[in-house]
Parts: sequence; C-alpha cells; structure tokens
Amino acid sequence: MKIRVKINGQDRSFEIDPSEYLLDTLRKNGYMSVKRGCDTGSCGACTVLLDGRPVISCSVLSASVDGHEITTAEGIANQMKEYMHALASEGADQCGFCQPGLLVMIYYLKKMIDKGLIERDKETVRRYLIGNLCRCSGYLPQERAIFRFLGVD
Amino acid sequence: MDQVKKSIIKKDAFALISGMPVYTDDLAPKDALVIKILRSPHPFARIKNIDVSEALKVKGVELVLTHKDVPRKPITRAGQGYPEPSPYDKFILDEYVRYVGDEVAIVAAEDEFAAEEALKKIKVDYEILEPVLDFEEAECNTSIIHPEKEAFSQFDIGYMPEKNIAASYSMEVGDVDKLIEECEKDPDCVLIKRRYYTQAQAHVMLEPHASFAYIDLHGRLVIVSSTQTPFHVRRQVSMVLDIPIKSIRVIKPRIGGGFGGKQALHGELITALVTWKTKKPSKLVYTRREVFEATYTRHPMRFDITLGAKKDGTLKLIDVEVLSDTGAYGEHALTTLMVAGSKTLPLYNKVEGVRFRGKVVYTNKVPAGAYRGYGAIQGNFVLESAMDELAQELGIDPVDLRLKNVIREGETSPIFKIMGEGREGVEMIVRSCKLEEAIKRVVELSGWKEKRSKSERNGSKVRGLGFAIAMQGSGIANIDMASAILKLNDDGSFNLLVGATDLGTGSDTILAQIAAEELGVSTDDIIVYSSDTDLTPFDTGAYASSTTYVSGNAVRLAAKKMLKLIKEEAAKMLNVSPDEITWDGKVLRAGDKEISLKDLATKLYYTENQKQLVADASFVGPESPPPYAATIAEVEVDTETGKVDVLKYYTVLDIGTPINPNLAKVQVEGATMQGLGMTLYEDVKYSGTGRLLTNNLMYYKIPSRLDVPEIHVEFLESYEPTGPFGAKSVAEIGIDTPPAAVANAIYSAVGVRIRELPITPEKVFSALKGGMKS
Amino acid sequence: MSLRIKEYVRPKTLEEAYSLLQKEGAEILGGTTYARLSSREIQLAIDLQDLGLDEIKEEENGWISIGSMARLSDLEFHPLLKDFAGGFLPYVLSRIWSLQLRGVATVGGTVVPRWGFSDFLTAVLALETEVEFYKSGRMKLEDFLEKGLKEKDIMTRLLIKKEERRAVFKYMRNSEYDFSIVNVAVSVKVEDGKLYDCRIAVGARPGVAKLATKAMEILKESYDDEHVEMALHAVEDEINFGDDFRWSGEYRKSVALVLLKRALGEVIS
Repeated sequence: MKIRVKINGQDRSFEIDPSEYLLDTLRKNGYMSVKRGCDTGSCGACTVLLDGRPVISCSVLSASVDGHEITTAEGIANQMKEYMHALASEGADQCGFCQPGLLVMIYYLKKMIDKGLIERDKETVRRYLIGNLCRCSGYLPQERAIFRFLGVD
Repeated sequence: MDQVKKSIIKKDAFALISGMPVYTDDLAPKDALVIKILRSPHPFARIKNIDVSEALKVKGVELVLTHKDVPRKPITRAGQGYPEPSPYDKFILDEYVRYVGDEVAIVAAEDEFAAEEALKKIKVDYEILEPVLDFEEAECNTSIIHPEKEAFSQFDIGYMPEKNIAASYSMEVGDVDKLIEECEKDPDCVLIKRRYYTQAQAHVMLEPHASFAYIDLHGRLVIVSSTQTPFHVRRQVSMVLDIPIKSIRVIKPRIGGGFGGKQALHGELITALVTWKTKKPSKLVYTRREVFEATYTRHPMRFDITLGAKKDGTLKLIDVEVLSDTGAYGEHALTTLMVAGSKTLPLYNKVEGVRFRGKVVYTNKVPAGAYRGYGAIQGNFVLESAMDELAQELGIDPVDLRLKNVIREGETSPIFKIMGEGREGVEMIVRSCKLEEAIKRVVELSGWKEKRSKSERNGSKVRGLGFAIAMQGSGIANIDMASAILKLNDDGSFNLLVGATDLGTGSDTILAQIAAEELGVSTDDIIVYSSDTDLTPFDTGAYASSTTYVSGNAVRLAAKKMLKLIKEEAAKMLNVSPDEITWDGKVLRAGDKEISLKDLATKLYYTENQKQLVADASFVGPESPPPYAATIAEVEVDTETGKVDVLKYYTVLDIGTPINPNLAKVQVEGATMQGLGMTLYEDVKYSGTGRLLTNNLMYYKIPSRLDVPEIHVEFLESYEPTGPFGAKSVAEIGIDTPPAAVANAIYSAVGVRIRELPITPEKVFSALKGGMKS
Repeated sequence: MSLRIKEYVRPKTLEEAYSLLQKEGAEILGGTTYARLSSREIQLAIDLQDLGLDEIKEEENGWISIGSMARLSDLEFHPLLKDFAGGFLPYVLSRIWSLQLRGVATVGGTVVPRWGFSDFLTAVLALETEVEFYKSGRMKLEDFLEKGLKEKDIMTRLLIKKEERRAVFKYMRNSEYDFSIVNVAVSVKVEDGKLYDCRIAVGARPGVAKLATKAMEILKESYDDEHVEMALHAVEDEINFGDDFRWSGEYRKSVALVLLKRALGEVIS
C-alpha cells in the first residue's frame, strides 16, 4: 500500500507493506538517524516526532502515519548546534547510538519547557528522558550537558 | 604538555550526535541479501533430519544453508590473540545444537519478510537430548555437551570435554591447607569461609551486532562489522572458510558500544559465508532478542572463599575456589577464570599463603564470553565482600583492614608472575600505585568516619556505607600488540592509522592527543583512521583495557620516529645537522634559518628531496600496570520492602595520567552504572526448559537515568613510567567495585549479607524477614 | 518475528468499523505498542484514528470523558486532568514506561486487553470509572476488568466521575524504568473534612487490577487505625497474588500491604 507523509517538512510517499513499522520505513528511505536498538519499545534509539509528539517509531505502524508529519534528527540537527556542543564538551556522545533519539527528545523538551508545559526541573526532565537508554555514559555526562542547555538546575 | 591531560572533544562527536549514517547497518548496500538464522528451540538436541525444500521455494529466497552445507571446522569465536587460550569447540553450523538460540540454519533472501517466511518453512527433526542446565551439576554429568572428536585446545588449558570441563586452573603460593589448619587452632586468628554467586550479566550495547559483506573489484571478500577485533575476524574467517588472508578485508566503521560483547565473532562468519557462496552482498543484523539469546553473557560463577587473619588484622591467607559457567561454548573460559584471581589477589600481596583454583564447565545455556571487567568484577565482589565480613568478625573498621594489607608503590606480588591470561604472567614491580592515598581520600570525601559511627533511620528506611577497592590491568602483558602509522601531509597535518578500534570511548581522539603531544602539534592536525585491515596496521583489538596503554605507546613511538624524520629532512633543507634543529610545533629552526612544517612538507611532496614521510611503530606491553580504585557507596534500604537505593557513590582512582580527563571520567561513570546494574537490577532468568526469559529490554533491566546516584569521581595525581605520558588504563576499573561496595553498605545499613548477585529487593526482603541473619 | 498484517483499513464511521470487526481475523489496532512482540497474523487491521475517538472533555453531568483513541501522553498533558484529584492521573501517567511509549499507547489499547501490568488501570479503578462500548454500552470498569466482553466490540470512551477525591498511587519497582512489581491506588471522597467511599485497587498482582471490596466495606465504618488494620487483613484474604518469572506472589503480597498501609495513611491523614 501507499502512504503519504511529510518528513522534516518534505512531502514524501512510500510503498509499504501493511505490517511494516515506521522505523523500517524511515531507515529504508534513508533516514538513518533513526536507530534500531531493541524492538520492544524500550531503548528510545528510534525516537521521532509524530505530529510533534515523541514516539518510538519501532511501535508505530507505517500505515497509521499516512497523512501525518514526522520529524527525525536529520531535520532538526542544524537547529541544535548549541546542544550538540554542550554534549560533546562533556564527552557524553560516547558510542553515539542513542544520540539521535535523545536529540529529538531534547528538541521536544526544550519546546515544551519554553511553552511552560513541562517544568524546568531536573527530576522532571530526567523522568521525561527515562525512555532514552544509554549504556556507555551512566547518563551523568549527558545530563550535565542537557541541564546546562535547558537551563535547568 | 598541552594536548594531553586535556578534555578535547571527540573527533566523531558531531557526526554521531546528529545521526549521520556511520554504523554498520547504516552503510550496508541497499540490495544486500538479508540473512536470518533459524535457532534451536531446544537446549540440547541432535538434528536427525533437516528439510529446506519448502523454504527454498519462498519467493525471494536466495540461499538456505544447514550443517551439511558448511565446512566442518572447529573454531573459537573468542576474538583473542593466536593461539587462543579457548577451546576450538564451535562449528558455523553443527549437527548438534547446544543451547536455545544455537544456529540451526541460515537463510539469505531479498528482504526480511521473505527470510522470515523461509525460516518458518524449514522442517527440522530433532532428537532431544537431556540438557545440563544447572552448572553445579555439569561436571561429569551423563550428558556430554561436546562429544565431537574434532574439538581441541591449542595448548593445555585444562580442557576435559568428556567431563563437561572447558578449562581448569590451579595455583598456590605457600602451603594454604597448613595455614588454614594453623588458623583454625590459633586463638589469635580468625578464619571465615563463605560461598558467593554472580550472574550472567548482558552487555546491552545499544547497537546490536551487525555485519555485512561484499565482493570487491579484485574478487576479494570485504566484511564490514561492528567488531572490536577486525584482525581476529580476518584470521578466523580465513581459517574456517579456507579463504587466504590476502583475500579478506575487514572494516570497522563506528560502533554503537561493545563492552567486550563485540570482541568475539558473531555474525561475521555467516555474512562472509553467504557472500562468498553467492558473490552477492549480504547483511546480518541481530535482533535484540538474538543479542540476548545468541551472543554472549558474563560468566556466571560460584566462589568458595576462605580468608584467614590475625586478630590484629594481618591477613594471612586467601583461598579461592571457583566454578564458572561458560554455557554451551568455551570462549574466554580459562582467561575469565584466571582474571578472577589475577586482578584481585595482588591487592593483598603480603599474605603468607594464597591459593586459587577453579573449573569452567559447559552447560546448555547461552555461551559466556568477554564482558568489561571479566573475571575481575566477579572476583572483586567476592574478595571485597569477604574482606568486609572478615572486618566484621575481627571488629576492625573495614578501611583499616584494607590499609593494613594493601599493595603499595614499589612492591610486587607473586601473582603477577604466576597468573597471566591463559598462561603464565610477567614479573612486575608496581611502579605507580596510589591506592593507599585513594583509600584515604575516598574516606574523607564520603564522610565515612562520621557516618559509620551513627545509623541513620528515616521511618522504614535505613542508611549505610560500604567500602571496596579494586585493581585492573592495562592490556595483556607480552601478548597484546598494537601498531601505528603516521603519515605527513603536504599541509603539515598527519594521518594517524591505527588498528585500534574505537568502540565509542573516544580512543581515536585519545590516540590523536598522544600523537599530537609527542609531535608538538595540535590534536586538530591529526586525522585518525581506524580500523581497516587493508589500510591500518595490526592491533589485537580493543579489549582488556589495552587501547590507551598498548596502542597509545605504539602511537607515541611512531610519533617520536616521525619527529626524527621531520628534523632530518628539515636539517637537509636548511643545510644544518639534525641536532641543531629546534621545533615549536609550527616552525623548524636552526640559528637564523627556519622553515615551517607546512613548507617543508610541501617541498617534500613537490620540489626538493621528494619523499613521503611515514613512521610506524609497534608495541607489546612487557608489563600490565594496574590502575586502582577505592570506592564508598551510601545506600538506603527500605526495611519494609527490601528496596535498595544507592544515594551516593564516591570513587577515587589512580589511572596514571588521564590523557583526556572528560573521557576518562565518563568511562568511570559509565562503568559504575554497569557495575551497579549487575549489583541491583540485571537479573537473568531461565525457564525450566533452558529458555532465556530475560531476553529483551522490558525484562532485562539495565539502569535507567532515574536509578543513578550522585556519583563523585576523582583521579589522583599519578604517573606510570611505562605508560604514554604516564597513562594507565581506565576502561574497566570502574566496573569492579560497585557490587561489593553496595553489598557491604547494605550490610552496614540493615545487617543482612547478600552473597548472590543481583541484590534484588525480594532477596533483601527475604533476608530481613529471616531475622537479620547473615 | 513480528506481527503480520494482511490488510489495513481506516473506517470512517463507527458502524463501518463495527461491521468490519465482525469479519474473521479482523482486529482493532490499539496503540500497537506491544503488537510488535506478537508473531500473530491479522487478516484485517482496523485503525480507528479517523473516528474522532481521541477527544478528552468534561461532560455536563460531571464525568470526564476520554476517547478510547486518546494517547496516554494526550491525557498526561491535558488541562482537565491537571488539577483533578490533586493531579493524580498525570502523576501516574508520567510514571508509565516512557514518554515516547505514552505517545503511542492509547487508552483503549490499555483498557481493552486488560493488561495485568498496567499502572493506569489500577489508578482509574480507584476512581469511579466506567467504560463505554459501541454496542455493549456503558459498564463499570471493575465489571469489565473482571468479566471482559463476550462479543467483539469497539470501546469508545472511558468515563471518570469528576468528584472531590483524594487519591494516592503507590508502586514498587526495582529499576524505576520497569513494570511495577505490584501497584496500589486508594482514593476517598472528601466532603466537609469527612471521608467517604474509600476505593482500594491493587494491580500487577500480576493479574489485572482488582478492587478490594471487603476492605472498602470495612472502611465504611471508620477510618481509625483499627479499621485500617482490619482492612489490610481483608486485602490479604480477598486479593490473590501470583508468581511470574521475575517476582513471587508472596513478595508481591507483602509489598502490596506495605504500600496500601502507606497509601491509606496518606489519604486518611
């Protein structure tokens, strides 16, 4: 079947299998920032924005996004340079596999915090990021950068 | 010194964070055949018959392979230096399947759906055999897991397959039985005997194992893999598939974490085989479930430890007996066992007697292999818990007990010489050791004395502090070899080619810093390429905490040579002798004559005395200098539920010079969380029929960011004279102390002693209910 | 191995969805969160996203109406729930797995399969909650959780009585990012400083959430220490706890009682 989606502001259409998941559709079509880490909706490496809200693309059927909008790390990385620098300055990028998914979350949280919908508070931010697993860094170096970038203390 | 001891940003940072396609699966050709593997549903069975005819009929299926179609050559997938101290007991595909997840057949198809469809259509007739699921019943069991005649070991590793023993080892210094007997009789001595267990922790690197292969324009086989050991992959693929080494190229792109899990070969043999047979590109990306069920775990172990000491706290003897479970195959069986002793026992080098023995048994479970801190974390949990128990018996502060007995700078231990990894070790005087200082510092940081003197209770919650120390190594002495090539470019920059494999730690950047420091240039002017067996020189790989120390030394030596070459060439240009040349990182001078490096390089390329400057060096560590750590964990235990929260975690380390302090700190923070994961959360459960139940990230819990305590990491000023710019290793040391530090803290808080990892709330609860028994 | 879908449809009316559902092998797609874990084959997957079932609003008669296709994250950030029962539901929701999962998971996808591990079901069960189906109509949540439905039907809404309640949710986990080992929710109606109608729900037993009706009866008499103690004993008798491969029923029970005692302490104080 065919779906039409807007990805990072561009209209795209793809031929998909009805059993296909968004993660696979995106990767097949070159959006390699979307990583497959677990298959069970646990690791957050495949996080993208669907109509502006973060979702695990491994658990969204591609058929169901027909007519919707998707944002991946490719589409927002150039707006996130300050964050990227903060993260790199801590050495927190490490293996990097979880990073694009995390970047999408930070982009979303920044918007939500700026709108006053999410509290500017460490514990809150941590809780909203709980679905972004990292095995390299023990999270702390990431958080030093994230808190600095989000102005959370 | 301005390029080392400096927190330079990782060279690949922005590519990684922005999501550039740099990992194996991102780079695979779009038309690559998709490989799927049919895996055994039985823990132990013989394939009586296997029929693939229906599978071959599925549209899009290119190839189906069974044990009948592959070369019957035993290998070890361990990914160690040759000859490996691991039994050659694995076939690509075999008539026998030895654990749930073992490979039965290989399918290659146009897409995933076709491959999966074909898997369903393979008909296998199994003869079910009685499995060995309990490692304490493996030895001399009537079920023999490796009855095949072809399996062998390259040298004596205590391999006795007829008894289900993959490896065994024993050593003794002094007469330990006699010392135990003396201790028992002597009223001025205390003897404790305890039994401990550790579990089969999973690595959970975020990127699952992935590899793809294709044939290049010369008809050679190219394998791209998320591997820690490209050169071992090349050697093993060559051996098993009978393809000359010269016809194989292995490329390691960026890797999404390894932690030892990618030291071994997993998919590479299969993608190589499929592509070699079909001459078409193929790829194999493990599902997370496959990573859990069909790669590696940490070796689960049982320890019986006996400690004897005088009442004044002088440790007299250490006796350790280990039973280790290597699962269905014996990768790293011997070395992991030995490290449980060699990376713990030298901590207490003044004992009169020390004995260490153990057996590593086969079971019909997921194979065990290399995992960060292997052997050491298990051994450390046991030794450091037992030291705490001894301190309790003696009525001595656990810190004082350590201070009385620990190794100090300028001292040695007989263990260094007796126990290497898989063979004899090397004699070594400890040239840098700030363990005593680290202990004193962590005591001060944590408020140990004040907090230990009073128990803090808040409703049902009680706090406690626990202490542990640890040591590691820096590469494997006399075995791990690394090399580096530096090449001068016409703008005065350098290519640094290393076989060392950055797994995400930032080692490419660290090696560049070492080169830059030696050359006197900026790290920005070092372009690092790793690793590609065609283009980069040999390196045993990134394991055993070797990269900074072993590869770093090779890089430093290459840089020294390069600087010498540059000065020689400058001297020729300036018509002076090389001794007269001075160098400030930009310009070469002799008296009033000068030439910039850039001009020199351009001339060398195009106009005068033309040549390419290339320097190379190799390094094998004659020693493996240990880094040290002293740790104090503060926990809070809910006495009504058994829930343990680690509140604060202080760790002070001697890692020699931290080349990149940020990256070193992240290594310790990350290792700490992996250690805390093993301590508290990472429970491994099997069904009664040998199926791994904790086979996904919903059930196998690595720590989340809300489980992280306040972690204070501090490095002491220390300088290792044999290391590059004084550096020792940092990758593993951080993982060793969490289990014992936390177990000891729980004991201090609520008086229960948990001797089996992980320390789940249910275990603490049951122990508390059992009347605070220890 | 993952779920195979033969055909995917997005009906435009409930009636159409309902008649499609009656076909052999037809299923409603919930949030699809756990679908990936199954290796089933669905002949006809019905996606309800075009039916406007994601609305969250206050009904005139004092009920909060939540469409079955509302995402858990929609609920979490909805102004209507922010102050209701002291922000009880956003608190519970924010603790369910991850925000990215809550962005996929739907209310219907949580209620209809009657997931045992659910924190959300325990929480809403401790409120006065009803569930509405297209054909089967409206029923109490506790009845649906206990009995399920006999026919294939489409859940349309979850309805929560909007009343002054003090509610507390407690859960036990080892790692915070996990399913609850056991969870409890307690709520009481507060009028003029007096407590009425205590509801006690226990979930992740590991069976689906259940009301402790005997304990609730006991507390109707009094909220003093003695009655609380009696209520806890009643819970011990009336609620059964089981083992799964990770935690024992015995442990679940012990912890549930500790959590309940704490939760009751908080709502009564």
